[in-house]
This record gives sequence, C-alpha cells and structure tokens, in this order.
Amino acid sequence: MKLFNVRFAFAIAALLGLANPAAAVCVQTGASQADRDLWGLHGCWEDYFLWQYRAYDMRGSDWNNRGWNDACNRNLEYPKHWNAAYLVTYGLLDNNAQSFHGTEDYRATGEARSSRFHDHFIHVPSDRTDIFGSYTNPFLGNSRVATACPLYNPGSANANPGSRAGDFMHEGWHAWLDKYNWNNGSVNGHRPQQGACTINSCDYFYFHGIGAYAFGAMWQTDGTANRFHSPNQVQVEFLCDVADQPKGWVPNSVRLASQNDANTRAGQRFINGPGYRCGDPRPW
Amino acid sequence: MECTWANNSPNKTLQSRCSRTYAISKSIRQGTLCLFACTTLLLGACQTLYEKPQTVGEEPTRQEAAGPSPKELIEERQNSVMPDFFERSHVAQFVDWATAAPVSRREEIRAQMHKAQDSDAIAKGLIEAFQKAEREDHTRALVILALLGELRNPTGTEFLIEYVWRELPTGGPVMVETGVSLERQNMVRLQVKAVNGLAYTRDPKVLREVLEIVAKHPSKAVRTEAASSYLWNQGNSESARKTLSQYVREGESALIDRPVRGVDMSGEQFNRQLELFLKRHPELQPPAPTQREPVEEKPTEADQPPRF
Repeated sequence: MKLFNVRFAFAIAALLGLANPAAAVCVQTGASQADRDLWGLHGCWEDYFLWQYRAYDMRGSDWNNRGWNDACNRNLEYPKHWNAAYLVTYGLLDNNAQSFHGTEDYRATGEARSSRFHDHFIHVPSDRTDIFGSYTNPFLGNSRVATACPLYNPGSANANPGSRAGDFMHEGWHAWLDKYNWNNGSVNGHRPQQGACTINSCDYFYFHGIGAYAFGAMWQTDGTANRFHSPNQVQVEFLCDVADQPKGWVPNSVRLASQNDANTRAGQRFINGPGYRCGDPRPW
Repeated sequence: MECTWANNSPNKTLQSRCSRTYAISKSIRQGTLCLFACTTLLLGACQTLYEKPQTVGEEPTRQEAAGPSPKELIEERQNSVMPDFFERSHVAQFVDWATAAPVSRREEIRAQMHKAQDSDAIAKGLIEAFQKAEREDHTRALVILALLGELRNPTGTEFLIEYVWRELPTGGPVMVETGVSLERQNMVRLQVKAVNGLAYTRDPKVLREVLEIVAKHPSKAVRTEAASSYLWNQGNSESARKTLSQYVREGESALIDRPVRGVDMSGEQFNRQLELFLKRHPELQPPAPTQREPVEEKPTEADQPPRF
C-alpha cells in the first residue's frame, strides 16, 4: 500500500510537471545598465512589440510567465528579448563604406521567417544557466532558437541588448548551416578545441573585407572558404557593426558592451584567430 | 493491510475471498496507475508533435500606460545637460548620464574625462562605483572601467593594473560552450576592458606592464587585447611591432598583424590591412567548408520479410 502511494504520488507529480513546464524563470528583479539605457529611448513602444512578436514568432504559451502580459516590465525576459530585437531593427547605420553587413542581413538571420537565410523557426526561452542559447531542429515540430538565462540575468556579461541580439545571429546562423546542409562540427554544431581557439566550441573565421557582401547577401556562399560564414563570425561582425557603425542615438553602454563581447569572442573562439579587432582600442 | 483482518479470522472462505478481491483490486490499481502514466506521456508527446500555429489574438499586452514616442525620447537625451563632474560626490550621477548618453556625444565625455584627469578623488569615486557594480550589473561595471581608463589618472591606473592581474575564479558550474564558469568569463571580459585603459596612458612604465600582460596573462582574450592596445597607442610603428614580437607567446605571432577596424578607417584602408594580414599569415586561411554526409541506407538481411 505504501509503495502504491509512492508510485501514485510520482505519477501525479509527473502530470503536474508536464502541465506546468515553465515553472522556473531567470532573474526577474532587474535589468542591466545597457538594457535600461536602450529601454529609455523607446518608452515601451507598443506598435513595435506588437510587430516584433510576430516577426520572431514568439508564443504566449512559451513566454507567459516571463512578461508576455507585462510587456513593458523591462525586468522580465520577453521585454528584454524585444529590447534586443529593437536594436537589430533600428540601431545600425548601414554604412556601405564601413559596415560588414546591413540591417537586412541581421534581421533576416534573427527573425523567424523562412528565407534564403534559413528555414522557419520560433523563439523560445530556456532556464538553463550553462548555455547562452541554442538552435534545435527536431524531427517533428518547429525548429527553435532558445535564449537562456545568462542572456537575461543582469550580473552576466551577456545580459545586454547587443550580446542578446548577437546570440540571435549566432543561433540563426546555425539555422543557415542546417538549411544548406553544412557541417560545422560535432560539438553542439561547432568544432572541438584546437588551434588558436581556447574554448570548447570553436569555429573558423572566414575573413572577408568591407564591401565583399552587398547588403542582403550575407547568406551567399560559393562553397569555398572565400565566401562563407561561421556562427561565431556572424556574431562578431554584428557586434562590431553595433559598436562601430551604430545610429547616433544608440547609448554608449550598448556600444561598449557590444565591442567588449566582439573583441573577447574574437580572441577566444576561432581556430585560425584572432578575428578582427572592432574599433580603436581606446577606453571610451 | 492485505487481508490481515481476514487472515486473523478462522473463516477460510473469508480469507480466500479477501485474497482474491485484494488481488483484483491490486490489478485495477496498477492498471489505473499505468493508464495515468501512459496518458500523461501521450499527452506530452502530442503537445510536442503538434505545435499550434501562432494565432491572431494571442498577442502580448502591457500593464503600464504608454510613454512618449521614441523620437521625443531620443531628442530629449540628445539635448540633456551633462552633469557636474569635479567632486567624488558627482561620480554616480555622471556615470548614470554618460552610460545612457548617445554615441554621438562621445567626444564631449572624453573631453570631460580629460579635464578631470588630475582628480584622485574622482578616480577613487569611480573605483568605488566599479566595486559596487561588478557583481550586480556587469554592463555598468564595464562602463565605469571605460571611464576610469579614459581618465588616465595614476590612482585609477594603479587600480587597473591590480585588477588585470587579479586571479580568475576557478571551479563553479561550467558553461557548455566555454568550458569555464560564467563568473570566470565575466571577469575576463572586464579584464579585457581594463587593459585598454593601461595602454592608453602611454606611460612607458605602464606600457611595459602591458607587454608583461601580452606575455604572461593566463587569458588569451586579455593577451590579444593587450597586444592590439599596445600597438595602437604606439602608432603601429615598426619599432613597436618589433618590441611586441619579443613578448608574444609562441604560436601567437598573428597578434602583431591583427586587423583593426578603426572607427574613422575607410573600407579600403581596412581591406588593405586584411590583405596584408592574410599574406603574412597564410596558415590562417581556413579550410574549405564541407557538407554534412547524407544518411547512408544500409540494407540488412531483415529488410525482406519471408515469402508468405
């Protein structure tokens, strides 16, 4: 009888667990300086987030205890997500003479829609604290770009709109690799530690100059190393463009955080690194 | 409880009926439990397999009232007045203003830091603000380090040297992609920023410290930043490159030629720099990308059923 009660209790607990999968959440008591600074420039623009959730295919069932019905509470995950998307949509200068790529490229990489950049995916949250994000393409169901707590918790270096949007680019680029059936390695879609790379998940940097890709053409490849991108490279180029080619109104904190992320990443994550250095090495 | 009450009775028929009844009810209970578990699993699987498409009407909502438009807010920030910055008590408010100030006003902030260069009190105020922010708000800590570096004050510089050499944390839950803890990675990011400030002093003694960082710092990212910062502050001269070459670790010579996309640099200038870098380091050309192998179908003896 006692053993039966235990088994029954487990069954009930399992049922409750499945019924409430989003019980755990990231830190919801604050936002980073950069998040607050960017937020202060759009005042929770409703027209924007009512467009953004569709463009990124975000569902209430995934984000319901993370600000879906509190979309102007900047401490919660969903508002932080669309704060980063706002930077992608409006924050870049698109300077043909100096930018690596344009808004058109970065939006197509991070947004949900099927295009030459990638097949359709949805954006979901994750409570994991051991990853920044992930891209999964299950056999059945939607492909997913998940963003995890280190992109939202204010104490984390990547909990700023530039780095969060940079992760949209990174994961979106895994979707590009998937669409065109490219092999980027067996360590969660990257290569094992080797060469100049000092971390677990490494990429090659497929160096290219300014103007090598017209805006809108970042998806292109000729199948050689001369015209190709890796996920960390797309992320670095995006962060560099935020740091060096932002619209004049972008806050200094967003610029500095993006530059810091880009340069740290360029120094650590590339087998044939280092990647480019973004901006003059001046403190401010 | 299993029929103990019946087993204690002398009535054998009662004992037998109780045992049979118990056995049947036990089966029913186990069957019910199994049904519960299977249904739960099936429902979960169905939820995963069938993803309801996004429907109109399930949109996010807000609880606060709407604020001013982005255009108004940008204009307000563009025209905001820089607060005073000549006493320690001014530090917090100045940081609040500078961090949010638009990129277009960067030069004003640089000029203000230059004016405050001789103030030890302000340097100490920034250090105190950094120590408070370091664990709570990484971006704010980063901004303060940037201001401290731009200040070029000896007290500030002394702190930056100490901070760059602070031992990186070990242990703790590991991030899958980096193989180190988030805490360690957070600190590396701040040390990368701190080294900019050291090189920017352009003080010969401090620059020697930067070269020591190139040679000995445990973090590759910090060594990389130190090398780029050293060269830029020395005008990328040939003599600076030669000096740097004596400090870079074996296998890190590419740091000497690393392309830097300067803010005022034209596309052509950057492209020339890149071309030279790849010419000097042909070993850094990546290999050709490869496609994933298609799934190979391998027939087995069990593929064909026996003839009926």
